[in-house]
Amino acid sequence: MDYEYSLNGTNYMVSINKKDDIYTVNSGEKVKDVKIEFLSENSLLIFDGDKTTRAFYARDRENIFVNLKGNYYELTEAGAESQACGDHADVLTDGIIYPPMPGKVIKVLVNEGDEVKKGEGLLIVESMKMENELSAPTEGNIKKVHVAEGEQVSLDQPLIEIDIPENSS
Amino acid sequence: MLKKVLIANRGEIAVRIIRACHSLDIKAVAIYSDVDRNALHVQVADEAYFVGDASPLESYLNVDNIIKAAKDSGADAVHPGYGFLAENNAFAARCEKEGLTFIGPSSEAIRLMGNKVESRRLMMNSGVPVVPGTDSSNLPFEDVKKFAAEIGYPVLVKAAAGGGGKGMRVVESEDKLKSSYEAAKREAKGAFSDESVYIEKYLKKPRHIEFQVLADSHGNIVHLFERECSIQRRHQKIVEETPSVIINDEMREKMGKAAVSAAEAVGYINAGTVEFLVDGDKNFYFLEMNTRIQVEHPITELVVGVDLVKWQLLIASGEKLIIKQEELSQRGHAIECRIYAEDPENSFLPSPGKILYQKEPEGPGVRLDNGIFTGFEVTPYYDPILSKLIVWGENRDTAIKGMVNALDNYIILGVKTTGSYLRELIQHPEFIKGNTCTDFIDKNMKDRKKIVDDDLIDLSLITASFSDGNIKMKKGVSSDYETISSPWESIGKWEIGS
Repeated sequence: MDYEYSLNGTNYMVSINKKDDIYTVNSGEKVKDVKIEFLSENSLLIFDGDKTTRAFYARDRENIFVNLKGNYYELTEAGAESQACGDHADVLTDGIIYPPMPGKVIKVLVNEGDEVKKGEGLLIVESMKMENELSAPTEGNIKKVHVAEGEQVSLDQPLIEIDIPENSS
Repeated sequence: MLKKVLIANRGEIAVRIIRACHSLDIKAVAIYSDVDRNALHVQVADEAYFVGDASPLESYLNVDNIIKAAKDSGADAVHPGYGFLAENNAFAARCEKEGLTFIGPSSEAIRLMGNKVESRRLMMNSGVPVVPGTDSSNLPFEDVKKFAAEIGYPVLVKAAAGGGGKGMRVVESEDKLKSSYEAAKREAKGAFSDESVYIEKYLKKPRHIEFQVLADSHGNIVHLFERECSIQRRHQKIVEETPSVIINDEMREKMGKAAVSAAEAVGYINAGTVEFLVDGDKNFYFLEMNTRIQVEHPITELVVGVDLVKWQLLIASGEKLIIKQEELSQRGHAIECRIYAEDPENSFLPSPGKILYQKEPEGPGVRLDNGIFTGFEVTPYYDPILSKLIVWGENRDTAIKGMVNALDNYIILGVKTTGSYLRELIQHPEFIKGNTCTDFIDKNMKDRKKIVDDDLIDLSLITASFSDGNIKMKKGVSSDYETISSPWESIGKWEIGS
C-alpha cells in the first residue's frame, strides 16, 4: 500500500508491506519493521523493536491529526491540499489575499487603485476578540477589495486582490 | 444559603463554578448562545437558558436576556466568572437592583477598581506604589503624545476598563503612537463597551506577581499568598505558578499586607486579586485589582488547600470567613498551563475547528479544568481557551516534571493548541532556573530551533497510513491485505519534496 502525505510543507511517500505480524514501512530513505497493536478507533501502539510509542490519531475530510508523546502533527493527504490553509498570516495565491482565520473585518486600510509596498497594512481582521493586521506580502496595486468593514469572513473567502508588477518577485 | 445560581459565562470557568455549586447542593443554571447549545457547561448544569446569537454582545454580554433568564429560572444569585460581564459594575448594579445576589464585590468596588485610572489614584492616596502614568483617560491626543515623550518610550497604551491584555498595546516610538492608540480604543470598545485608554511607562523585564484575597461581609479578610504569572504572550498569561521563586517570606508578608490594604481601601468583599509588577530590584508596584475569580485560581487552591469558588458562594450567602491568616500556609508547588486553541508556530493565531478527539491527562497531582469534549466545535466568537492543566508537586522540580508528563498524555486532535509549545517552554533551561520575566517568550522562545525529530516524523507517517481504515479495522491482521501484496512485490515510490 502506498501513501503520500504532506507535513509542514514537505511531501513524504510511505509504502507499507506486511508479512506475518511485521509491517515493513518505507518512508523517506528509511526502512522500518514495526508491529502494530490497535487500541481503539483513535489510538494504536507501535512496536519498533523493543521501543513502544502510543499514537493517537483522528481524521477529517483531508487532514490527519496525530499526537505522539505530546508532539502534534497535522498531515494532509496528497492531492487534498486546500488553497486557503497556508501557514502564514497573509496568504497570497495569484495575488489574492485570504484571511488567516475566520473572523470579522474591522477596518479596510486601502482603496482600489492604491499602490502598496511590501509589509504595508491592508486590513484588520478580528478573531476571538483579538485584532490582527494583514499586511501586503509583496508590492503592487490594489486591484479589488472584496469585503467591507463589519463583514464576517471565512477561510476560503478572497479579501483583496493585488496586481503584482512583472519585475517584482 | 443560596439555593440556585445562574452562571453568566461559558467554557471551563462555567463548568468549574457549576461543580462548586453542586458541592454545596446549590442548583446551577447555565446560559448559552446559538453556537453553544451542546457546550460542556450546558451539559453539566441543572437547567440552561438560551440568551442569544453567537456574537458576545447578543448573548454573554446581553444583560437584559441574562437577567431575564435568572428571573425565569428562579435563581437567587448570579456568578459572572471571568471576562464577559465579570468586571462590569453596571451589570453588578443591575443584579443588585433586581434583587439578585451578585457573586463578587459591590458594584461600587468594581467601579473603583475597574477604572484603572481611578484605582491608581486611590492606591497612591493609600500609599501603595504605582507605575508612572497619565492620571486621566480622556486627555486630548496631543497631551498624550507630550506625556509619552516625557516619560520616554516604550510606553503602554491600556484600556481604562481593561484586563486580559485586551485594548493594550506597547508603543516603541512616537510614529506608532496614533495608530496604536486608535486600535487600543477600538479593541477596548469591543471588549468592554468603554473606549477610554491611558498611557503608562512600560517597565522592561518586570515580573508579574499577584496576591489572592478573600474577604467576607463581616469585616474578615485574608490573603492566600502569591501567584507568579510572568510568562505571557500578547500580555496574556499562559503559564502561572506558585510560590514565586524570587520572593522570600519577608517580601511575601509585605506584599500580602499591601494587597489586603488595597482591598480594604474599596471595602472589598468576596474573592479578588491584587496584581503587582516587580522590577529587577524587587520593588513592587500596584498594577490593578481584578475584582473576580482569576483564570489561574486553581494553583492557589492546590498549594493553600482552600476551594476559592466554594468560598465565593459561601461569602455571597453571608457566611463568615472562618479561615485565619495565621493558619494559612503554602504547601508544595503548583503550575498551570493554559491550553488555548491557537497556533504557537504562527504568532498564536486562533485555531478554531472541531475537536475530533480528546483524552484527558491523569497522574499524581494532576487537575484539569476543562471546557471541551470530543465532537465540540471551537468557534471563532469567544476567547480561545479550551482548558487549564494544573499540576501539583512536592517542590518546583517535581511539579515541572509532572506537568511534562501530563502534557504528554493530554491529547487534543483537530485544532492546534498551545500544549506542545508549553511543554517545550517549561523544559527550557531558563524556566527551570526560574528566570521568568515578562519578556520570557520574546527572549527564549522566538528564535528557538524547532527540534525536528525524524524518528517521530516517521512514526507520524506510519500512524497516518494506518488511520485510513484500509489496513486498520480488519481486526488487527488482515488476511486479504496479505494476498494483495507480499513484502517484496511492491517497492514504494521514492520521491521526496515533489
